[in-house]
Amino acid sequence: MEFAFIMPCCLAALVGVAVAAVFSMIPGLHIYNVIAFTMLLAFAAIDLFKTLDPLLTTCFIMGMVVGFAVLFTVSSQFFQPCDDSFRSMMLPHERFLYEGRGFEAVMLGGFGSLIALLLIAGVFPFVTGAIGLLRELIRPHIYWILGLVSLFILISEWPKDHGVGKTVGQRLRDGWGQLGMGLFVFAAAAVLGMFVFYNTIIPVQSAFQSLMPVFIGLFALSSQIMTVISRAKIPPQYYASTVDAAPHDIARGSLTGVVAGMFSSLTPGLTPGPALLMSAHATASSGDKQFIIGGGAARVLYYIGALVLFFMPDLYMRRGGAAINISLFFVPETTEQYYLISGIIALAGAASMAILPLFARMCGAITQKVDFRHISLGSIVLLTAIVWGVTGWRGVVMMLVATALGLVPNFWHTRRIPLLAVLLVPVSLNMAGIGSKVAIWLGFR
Amino acid sequence: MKYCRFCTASMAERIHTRLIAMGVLVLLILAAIHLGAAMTYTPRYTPIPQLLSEMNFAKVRVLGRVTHVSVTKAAYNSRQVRIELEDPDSPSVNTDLRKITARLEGEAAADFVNQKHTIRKGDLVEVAASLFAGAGYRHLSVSSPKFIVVKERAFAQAPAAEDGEVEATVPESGDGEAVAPVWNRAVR
Repeated sequence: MEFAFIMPCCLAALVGVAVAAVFSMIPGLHIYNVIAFTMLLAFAAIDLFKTLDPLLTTCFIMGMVVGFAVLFTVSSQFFQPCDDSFRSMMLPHERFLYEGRGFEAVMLGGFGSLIALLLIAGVFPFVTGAIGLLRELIRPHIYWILGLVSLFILISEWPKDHGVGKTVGQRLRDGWGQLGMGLFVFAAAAVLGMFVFYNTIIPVQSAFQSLMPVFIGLFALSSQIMTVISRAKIPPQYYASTVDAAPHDIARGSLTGVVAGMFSSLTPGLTPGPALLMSAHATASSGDKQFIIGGGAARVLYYIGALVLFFMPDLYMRRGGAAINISLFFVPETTEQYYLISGIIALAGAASMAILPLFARMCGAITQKVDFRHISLGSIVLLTAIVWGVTGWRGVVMMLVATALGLVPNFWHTRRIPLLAVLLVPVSLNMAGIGSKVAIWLGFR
Repeated sequence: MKYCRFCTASMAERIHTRLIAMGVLVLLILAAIHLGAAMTYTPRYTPIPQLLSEMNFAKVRVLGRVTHVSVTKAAYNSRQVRIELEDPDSPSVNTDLRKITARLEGEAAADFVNQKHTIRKGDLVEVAASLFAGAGYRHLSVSSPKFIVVKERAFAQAPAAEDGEVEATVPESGDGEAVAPVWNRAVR
């Protein structure tokens, strides 16, 4: 590979980081949505797109994914404060925001992200064979692993509020109201997932993005709507050059995040959220700080680690939305390409980590000047426009159905994690070889 | 131990954010190492006789001497390119195992024809491709012509393809019969 080719690749990756930084300002927007939109533009200008070397476009997308994995939670942390009148629990970074320590939470997550980036760029090239072996070992067992993850989500619904009613009936209703809605959300999301996998209404030309409207509805749009109607107030933020953490917090938090990130990157259908929840149990990590650090590491390993598996010489595993989109126009073939991609990850990671403190300060300053509800309102309009642009009115209909379901956990004070059944259940059933039969039974085939 | 009375954060045990700046430096060093490795990488070739069904679907790098090149017209006016390769280093091995075909289809074949690759009989070429090997079949699937690199020319005087020649010499053929464009016919 020649220097004259590597330099434009580096430049493309840095442009990707810059684009990701701009889009990371919009809470709720996912990088896979941005990539989908990029692909739509690429297909619209196919003659121009074909003149570019596929590896150059790949490096641009890689830069976007790296930049986004490091930066995208910053806007959510600052622009989506928790309104405890409709949320069942306050997450650690939300507590930090209320204490004026939003910047500190970002920096803690940044430590986790940095360790994951060092792992991907510094250690992964030496363990490609081991990761390939691990994947081969896991592959026949994925269906029951995902089944256990689903079971964990269901079981962890208990215990819930036992109620304060005066009679047994009132207490029973109180207790099962929250719990029952959690179980209902899981079942409804699973049925929606089966529908999307087997009988989606998305037009065939947008079929490569058939999951996008559902995910935007379930997770992004619903949370933006709740933010718009939120009555929370963000206090002034403080920016310290040190963070409240001990070395063991960083070590244990990172370990938890690495386990979660590797688990979710090697297991189809699993996202870093439930993986982090389980790995925190498995590694006995504790406290808000370790949770935030672990989240930073898990996210980076899930988004970037899963994508780098696509380029690994002993693996070439296509996992995640970014890899699926890249595989539309590029197939990795050589070891040099893997080294190039690893170098691009390290370079884009360095750029992203370098701008992280500035980005966090900027978001913190914005919270004091712009009403966060307006930002979320803008995000709702943009997300709807992207869904309309990529998947048409049918996608918007799917998105609205998913949004209604995504709002249920907020209104019934239950957790949002059962919504992940939209992916876990169909993937698990398909890997067990019974997905088609269940789809027929549900009337979707 | 001193704690903040407002948020209970520790004021004694804290970590400086300049660690992130140091991490950025390490990442830049790693980037330089990787990009340097991409530039100087020397591939390890798999000998053609070792490309067996046990390696099915493996991504391999092969060094072989071209014994034949053909371009056929398939359905919907698409092209299929077949490049027969022979292992240059193992004359004692069974003849069938010494040979393998590198295939380009669809867009890769179209690019191959459009770019007018000057691959000639006797050239020593390096091919990066996926192996498809099983009972009764054994070939390499090449996803782009750029993964076929000529390492050594058979002879310098052979005519290279000129603009328009390839299209002009690939006849209409509905039955998939192999035909060779002029730049191959010259060396057959």
